[in-house]
Amino acid sequence: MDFSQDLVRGSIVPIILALLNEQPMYGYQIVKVVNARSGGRLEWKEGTLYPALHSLQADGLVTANWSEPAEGTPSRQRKYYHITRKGRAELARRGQEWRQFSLAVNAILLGGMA
Amino acid sequence: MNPWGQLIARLTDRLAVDRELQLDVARELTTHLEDSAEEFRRAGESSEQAAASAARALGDPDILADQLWQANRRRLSVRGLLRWTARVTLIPAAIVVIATVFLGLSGARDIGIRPISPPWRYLKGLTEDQRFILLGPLESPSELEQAKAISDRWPDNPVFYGNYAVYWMDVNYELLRKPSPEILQEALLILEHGKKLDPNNAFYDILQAAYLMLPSYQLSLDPNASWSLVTGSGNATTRPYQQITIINQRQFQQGIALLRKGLAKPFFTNPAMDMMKTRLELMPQPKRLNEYFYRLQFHVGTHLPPTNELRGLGKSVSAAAVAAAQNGQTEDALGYLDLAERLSVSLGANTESLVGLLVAHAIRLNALAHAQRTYELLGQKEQAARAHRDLLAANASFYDLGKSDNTMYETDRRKMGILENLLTPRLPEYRFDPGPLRSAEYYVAMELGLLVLLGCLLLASLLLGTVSLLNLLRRKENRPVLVFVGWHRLGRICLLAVALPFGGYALYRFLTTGSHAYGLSYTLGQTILEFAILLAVVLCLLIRLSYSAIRRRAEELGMTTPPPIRLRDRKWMVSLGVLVGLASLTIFLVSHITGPNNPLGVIPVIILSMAVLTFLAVSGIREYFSVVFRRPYKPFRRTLYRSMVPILASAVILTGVILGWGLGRGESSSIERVKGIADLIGISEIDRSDFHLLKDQFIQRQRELAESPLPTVGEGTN
Repeated sequence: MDFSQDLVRGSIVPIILALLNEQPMYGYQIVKVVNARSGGRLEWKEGTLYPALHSLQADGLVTANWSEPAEGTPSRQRKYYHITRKGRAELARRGQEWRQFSLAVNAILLGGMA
Repeated sequence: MNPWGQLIARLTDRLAVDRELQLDVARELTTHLEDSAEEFRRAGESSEQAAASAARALGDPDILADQLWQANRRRLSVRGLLRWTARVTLIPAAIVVIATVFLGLSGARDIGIRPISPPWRYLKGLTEDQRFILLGPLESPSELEQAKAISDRWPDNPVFYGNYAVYWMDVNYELLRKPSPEILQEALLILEHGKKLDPNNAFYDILQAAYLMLPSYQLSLDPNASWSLVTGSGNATTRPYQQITIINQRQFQQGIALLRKGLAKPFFTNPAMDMMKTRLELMPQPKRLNEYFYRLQFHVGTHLPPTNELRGLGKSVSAAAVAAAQNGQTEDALGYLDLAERLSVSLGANTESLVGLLVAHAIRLNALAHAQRTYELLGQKEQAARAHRDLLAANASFYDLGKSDNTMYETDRRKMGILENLLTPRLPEYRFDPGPLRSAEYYVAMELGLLVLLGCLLLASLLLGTVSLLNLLRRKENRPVLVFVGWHRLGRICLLAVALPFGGYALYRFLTTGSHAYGLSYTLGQTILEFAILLAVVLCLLIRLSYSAIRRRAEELGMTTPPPIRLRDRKWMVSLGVLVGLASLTIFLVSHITGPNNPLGVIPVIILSMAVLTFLAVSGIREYFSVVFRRPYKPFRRTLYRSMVPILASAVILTGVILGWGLGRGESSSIERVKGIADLIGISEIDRSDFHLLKDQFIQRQRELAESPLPTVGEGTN
């Protein structure tokens, strides 16, 4: 099932922040994890990720540094993104917002159908 | 070869205004495409297919290029502003910091009798009147005119006028030795005016007497009679008596009358000394060593009273006593003897300078010797014997001063700083605390070392900046990139290249305080070597770490960079260790062979320091720059030069502000502890040494003489 583009675009920032809250990641790694965890249902255009990451960096929600990846991956430097304290606060706010929003939508859509 | 070169260029084209950001984004997208293509290859696609699939998966290039531009637009503005600010402010700020450190020390240039330009900050708080008293009108060509201008501005002030009078006599010293009637008249008038302003000071009457009498007699040595004394080394010295031939009896008697009038006055002070005290009281407590120097100039520049004239006066009066005795004029002879002794006592009891005390002592010895001869000629054997006893006692008491234990002095000499070693009079039991000034000198030496370091860094920064500017002007493509190594790496550079070496040196100084209990004049060689090593270490670490940080950043941006240099490749560090060890051993041996305070001991230290610095420089150049100069690393080399400029300039600012401030504070706190050392010359040398015992004798004798009336000789003459 394909999600609408607006829905996908609106979810990029909280998803990135949520993943970086688990561990620092580089761009391609984020794409792979998203694909794996969503069972391929969230098909991002890979390039879309970078403008989002750069905006987050400009807003101070994430920082970046170049370093060698862990063992098992090709030994090239990758640009790793780390969530900042401000980013965690934003993640919490977005999570809360998402919960409230989904509750409201569920109440209307699922409640109505029931 | 990168198969996505064109695609990446298209995606990042709009970011070209910030080359570093453009390279960073390009590198990030390239690694993404490489990872993606790798996965496609693992899925069975050929390399070409995998590259195309990876590019497709990235999305529409035009949309992505626009999104990247939108996402980075704000960052581009902020970074652009920061880069512009850094470009405009860093080098000027570094120059300002160096100038500030230099200005803190620059007053040291003004060492001399007359200051060229006083440290402005030091005299900032003074009023215009106070400045005038200190410096006079700055346009005055001579000190005499300055003194006159000060006196003219406050015509009723006896100190200012007296200071001018002393300067006048000093300037006309040669003319006054054999004065023409005109110059004699002028001298007498100047002194007469001083007498009106300061009627209780014997200074003017006695000098008037000296100048007036000078042309009225001739002194010669008596070939048939002499007196002898035992010196401090135990040898006897023989001195002939003076014979006087009075040419102008009336003028001579007028002089005696003036002397008599002067000796009746309550005190004898040199107005130039009073002027010096007035000026010292006006000046604020020094806060830097240069201010201390400035203050010191007012001591060195103080004029003593005309000592030759006073000695001549004493000799002529003593010789007049002998001459009167030879002519059978008993009353006059005894009167002259009394006047000669009173003259020496008046000088000795009131003087504040050691020279004045020694002149008084010489007059007294001469007076006592001539008293013995006068009494012998008058047939008063008992009085002659008493005069002889007094002469021997006065002489012995003088040499007894030098017999006190002086070993302490020699030990203390090592504890004195350079200035103290130069200026401290070698007087018996001279007492003062050399610690504060010694400490201040160490701080100043460190500030000089800091200036050398900052100067080297600024020079390197300017040189690299010029090379980069030429590169930028000459090239349209492959222009050097100004990379920012990041706050983390910058912090690491500051910590390892600046904080650690200086902190280490501070710890070394703290742990080896024993060696710094000695003055800089004693430890100059060691100090130069320490500074040279510290400077070399800081410079090497700064260049090494900056190079490393820029190399890594350039690597991140995808530039072709030289391989990292590993610790095991640095064989030269072992050689450096051997060289430093050899240097330390040589210093140790030289200091034991040449002894302390020998300037020759510094020469091998300087040579070795230069050798260490040259070795470090050559090793550094060979290690870092020989690699960088290889052809493939040309773009990196340009980037290295350009990116080093802000790092070096920042190092100048950071080091200059923190260390300059800290060392300045240390110097101030040391100088503020200098209490009274500023009065080394001219004021308190008698009180600080055993010479105060000699002065006490004069004071005691003055009290005794005060109980008897002045002799009648010269009375009624005018």
